[in-house]
Order: sequence, then C-alpha cells, then structure tokens
Amino acid sequence: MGTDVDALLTRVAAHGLPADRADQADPAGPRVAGDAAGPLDDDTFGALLAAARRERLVGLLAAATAEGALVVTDTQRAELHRAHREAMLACLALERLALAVHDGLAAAGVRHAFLKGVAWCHTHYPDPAGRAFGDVDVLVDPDGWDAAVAWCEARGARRHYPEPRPGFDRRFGRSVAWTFPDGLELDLHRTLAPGPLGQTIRPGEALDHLGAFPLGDRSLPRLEAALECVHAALHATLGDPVPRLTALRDVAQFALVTRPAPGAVEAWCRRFRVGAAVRAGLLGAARRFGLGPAPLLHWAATYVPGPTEDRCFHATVAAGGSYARQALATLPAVPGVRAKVAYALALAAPRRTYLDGDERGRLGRLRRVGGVLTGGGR
Amino acid sequence: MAGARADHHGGSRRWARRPGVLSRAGGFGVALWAPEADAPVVLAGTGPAVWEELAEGGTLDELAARLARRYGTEPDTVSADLAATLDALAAAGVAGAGGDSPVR
Repeated sequence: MGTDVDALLTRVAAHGLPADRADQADPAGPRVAGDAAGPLDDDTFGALLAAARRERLVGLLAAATAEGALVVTDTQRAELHRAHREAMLACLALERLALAVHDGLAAAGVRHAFLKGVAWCHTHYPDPAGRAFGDVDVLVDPDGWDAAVAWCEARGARRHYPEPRPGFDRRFGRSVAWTFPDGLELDLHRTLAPGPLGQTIRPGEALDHLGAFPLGDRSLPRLEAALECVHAALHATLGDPVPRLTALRDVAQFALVTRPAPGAVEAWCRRFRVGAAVRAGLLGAARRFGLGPAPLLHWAATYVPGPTEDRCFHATVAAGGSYARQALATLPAVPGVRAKVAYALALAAPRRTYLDGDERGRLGRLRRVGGVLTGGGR
Repeated sequence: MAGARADHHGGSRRWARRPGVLSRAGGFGVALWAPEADAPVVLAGTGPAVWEELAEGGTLDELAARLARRYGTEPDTVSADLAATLDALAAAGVAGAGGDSPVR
C-alpha cells in the first residue's frame, strides 16, 4: 500500500465541508478526498473501505467517489455500493425503531429528544445517506425514565449492563444501552456526557428546548441546534479515548454548515458548565480537518472557561475510559450530600444481581470502585 | 397481481408513493421501507427513476411517457417494465394506485 489510509480516511471524513473561510457566502465546493490521479490499488481501497465501515463513513466515501474526488475502479465502486446499501438498510431499520420508540414514549407521556445520527442526518447533513449510524440515541426526561425502561423490557430488549442499585440510572447514570430481539440497539440517555460533566447537565432543562426532524411522514423531537452542537462537541471530546472521525465530522458540520450562534452555544455551556469540554471538541475538529476561521471556532479559540467547567472537564478527561476512575471522579460533582451518599453506596455495595451478571469485567470494575470507596482499593 | 396488472393497463388510476416510506438513495439505487412492511426493497437500474417520478405521481401512461422522455425512447418500450416495477412497489407497500397521496 503506497497511500496513508488514515490520512485518506480523514480527508474522506472532511468531504463536502464548505470552504474554510467563514466570510464566504457560498461554499467553494467539495474538499478533495484523494490526490491520486488514478484509482487506488486494491489493497489500499480494501483497507480504506474497512476503516470507513468501522468509522461509519461509508456514505461520505461513496459521495467522494461519486463526485470524482476519489478515483476507484469499477470493481471497487461495486463493492463500495454494496457496503453503502448495507449501511443504509441498517439505518432504515434503526429509523423504524426510532418511530416505535417515539410512539411508545409519547404514549407514556415521557418527554424525549432523539440525539446524534438518527436526528442529525436529517437536519444537519445535506443528504442523510452521507451520515450512517449504528444505534438510536434518545435523551429521556429522568421523570419518565422508569416508563422508558419498562417500554424496552416489554419489547424483549436486554440491557447491556444491569443497574447497580434500583434508581441509580435515573439519578446518576449517563445512558443505558439496550439490544432488541431483532439485534437493533437503543441508547437511553439520561444526560449528555460521561463522568462529572454528566452531573452538571440538567436534562429536564435541555428538553424544554426542542426542535424537530422529519422521518417518513412524521415529525420527531430533537434538541435545539445550539444544544445539539454542544452535545456533538462533548461527544467528540469525551465519547471515546481517541475521538472518532464521525464525531469530529459532526462537530465540523455544526461549526461550518449549521452555524448556531456562538452566543447561544455559550449560554448552554455556562448553564451546564461544559464550556471547557465543548471548546476542546470544537478546536479538536478544527485541528483534525484543518478548518479555518468560522464564528463558532473563533468563539472556541477565545472562550475562557470558568473554574468549575475546567475542573469537571479535566476530571472527566483524567479518568479516561476507566469505569472505576470515571465513577470516582463523578462523586464530587453529584449535587447534594444525600445524593453523594446514595451514589457512593450504590457503587460500593451494588445489589447482588449486578455482580452476578455475565458481562466480563463488571465485577472487577465494581470491586475496584468499591475498594477505593471503602479504603481497600488501589 | 394479474388483476393489478390489468388496472395498470386501464390507464386511468393514478400511481403515487405511499405516505411514511423511509428511504435512502445512493449509487446503489434507492432503499425503501414501508411503515407496515417486514422488509425493505432496494431499487436499482431504472427503478430509482420510477421512484422519482412517483413523487409527482401519475397514471401508467403518464409515468411511461415521462420515463420515455428521460431515457429517449418510446412509451411502449418502457410500459411493460414499468408495470412490473409498479407491481413490485405495490407489493412492498411503498407505492399504490388510487386514492393514496404522495409522501412528502
């Protein structure tokens, strides 16, 4: 392979973004995804397609080839079309799940808003075929959490991890992942970020500010654009140890295409004390894709986070992907002494069913948390 | 389906997309999933063009005429394939003839 697949994939992830300059009224056309005058060799193409599948970038890879930004052979194009079709059929199946979830939660009177791919592909991308997704994400009002869980259970869905203690997810959890009998996955979110930052976000307030997106002949709820932008930046910064290209593309899409007013984004950052993390997400996308100045990126470059924002962000980042460290880092951010005690108790002494589950590593990670909380751990 | 075919050739019933169909289009064609269907359908070849024309809708003859213009051929040439495609779309629940309104 003579071509750097990672570099190629990064450029695919940036395909179709408007030109860098914020003061241009019209986009200057698509970014070029590949430099080669001729088609990629089969090994490079195979590695690129595999990486694009993993990163859910097959739609943008298909767009880059269709628009001539990347040259492929007929055989490679046929393989890409098969992969794109497969990804889009999966998205349609997930959209059917989203419709069922919406009907179920609405019937139960549960306030909710769809997040990430299922909502953003229809609102912030010019063509939903360019933004694939692998599950349905929905933010649920904590007051309706139990009804949402009951809805999932009634349809035979299995949660990936049991709840440490009854009521823990509704009070302290970030999200709970479910798999339905047909293999489709749903993430019920209580909040929009992991660790300490998840405690500073008040989902009830977020759900007071809804937008909508079309699905079939229906209209489903999503968060307002400025708050979606905040969520995209949080997810890019904190969602994975190494930011996923899809998450960074979402951030770039908000910064350069949707362009929520910086003042509106800042208001949410101050309100939920997430400015330091949002700033990092925006600047991370700008660095990764070489984005030039845009109002939101200028705002990020000049934003000064408050001390609490900084502290919560650094505590979340320092905890990394470790469940135990995230759990411990979250404790100071849990509001109120009684809630702190309940949180610590749930982690130090989870109910038996939690420890008896079959997910590898759960017992160990809880023992580590419990050990630290009771003075016996590392 | 034989009866449905006879209706196509009657020429007076309007074909249209059914409401609520989920869709994605790309180089692979068009993937469609009707609200009540158990499985999706994927259109390739000239199928996506038929789907595009169904956004406006029309009788078999009208659809055949528009598709013939698009491909630079005669309506009679496309009518048989069009009727078969409409049958398939009706079976998949994504299109129908008669009083259905097009999806948005």
